[in-house]
Amino acid sequence: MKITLSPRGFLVTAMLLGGTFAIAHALGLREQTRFLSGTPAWVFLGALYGVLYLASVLIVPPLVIAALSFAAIERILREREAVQAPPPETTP
Amino acid sequence: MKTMPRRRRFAIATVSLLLGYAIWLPCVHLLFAPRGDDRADRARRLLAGQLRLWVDPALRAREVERMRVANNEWDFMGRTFLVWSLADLSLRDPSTKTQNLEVMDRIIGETLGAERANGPHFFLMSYSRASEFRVQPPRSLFLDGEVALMLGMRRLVAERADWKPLLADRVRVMEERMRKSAVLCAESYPNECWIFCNAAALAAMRFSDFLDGTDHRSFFGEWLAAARGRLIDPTTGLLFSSFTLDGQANDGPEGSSIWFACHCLKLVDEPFAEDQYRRAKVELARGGLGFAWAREWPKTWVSPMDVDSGPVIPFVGASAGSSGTAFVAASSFEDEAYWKGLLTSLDFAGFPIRDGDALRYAASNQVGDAVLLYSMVLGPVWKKVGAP
Repeated sequence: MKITLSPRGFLVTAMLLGGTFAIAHALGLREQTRFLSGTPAWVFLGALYGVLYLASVLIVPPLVIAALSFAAIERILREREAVQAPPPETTP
Repeated sequence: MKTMPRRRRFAIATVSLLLGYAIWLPCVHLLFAPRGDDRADRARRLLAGQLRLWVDPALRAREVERMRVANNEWDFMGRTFLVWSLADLSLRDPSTKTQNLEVMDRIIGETLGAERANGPHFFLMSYSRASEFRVQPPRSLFLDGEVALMLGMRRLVAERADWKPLLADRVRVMEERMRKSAVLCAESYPNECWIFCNAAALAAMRFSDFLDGTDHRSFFGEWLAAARGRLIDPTTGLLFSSFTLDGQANDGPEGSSIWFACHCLKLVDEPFAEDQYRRAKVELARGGLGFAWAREWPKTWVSPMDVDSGPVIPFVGASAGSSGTAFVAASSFEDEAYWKGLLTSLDFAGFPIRDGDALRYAASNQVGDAVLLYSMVLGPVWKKVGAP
């Protein structure tokens, strides 16, 4: 699936990030974040969970807002262009 | 449909993302900020998590083993902070006293037994054996101070005659050993004195005065004079965290030490403790967008991170060890704004796990959760004992 620079692309990215975090959570990787206190853990898995968690909290919501904003701006620009475009030529 | 030029799409995407962040970032903390003062409920859940470890030997063995791999001290401090929490809880809610005393006695009994059976190095990091303690016989003020505080708090909740001489003995030995140093501080490790441990020892002496009628006021005065003269970092005005017996600084003011020391020094000289807390806030407390945390070192002191610091988050300099003990100081000095910011950060980055009625933080461990529990219930014991 190609992710494009579009509202849809933003939403798909947000869903992919959120879904990956949900899988990491369901796999119980949260426990491995104990490495943050210096307690022995699978550091890679804990760090992976931490990154996915941060993405789901700090990247996913702005992406969703950005998707809505992107779609709104696109629509406004299209409507403005439609108004400004010259009328189609007609034959006598 | 006509497609938009690539450059324009890129511009719209950038503006949209900036807008998304402008809306979202100021709101993130609202997801994690505590709703009202939920300290009592949170403490109840944290306590349930802690007590599970004391009724399930296999669970406790696994947790203790994990902690001891990283640091033997955590095994010890996980006990002391839990006992201190139970003492405060008993004064807050006398209906829990009987049950709390049972747990306190079990923990204190097991801790004294482990110390007796294995010697002072059992709860210390391995470098305690690397050289000889300057003051003989070998003893660590890290153990003596916190054990004495456990005994004092237990006896404050309800007298236990057979532990009265144990407290008296620890307090006498601590004072003797502290007086052998030029700065009236005893060793926690060979020729290594820690402000954390010495402040705890002073607090324990105050318990002895309150419970048994001893009088350490003159010693407190001498100690404060020595500390003001020899143990203060001239740049920040904060107490050094570790130093040699003759007062040479090993480490500057370290967050994971100074926050707890401020709390203990409230029982010795409240204005001095408040001044240290105010300075620590300036040098170490940081925050923004509704979150708060603590640095391990002031900007003016470059020092490596140690096992007490925990991993440090780059750029913002947030230290798990310093932020954890900052909870104790913020609660002790009733600094609600900082407390709320710390709690918001904890729920954001501490990865809470709610299991039935119990709460624990995945990014923490038993000792970390015990420190958090203590920060949520402390108050009544300190208020009862007070400064001289």
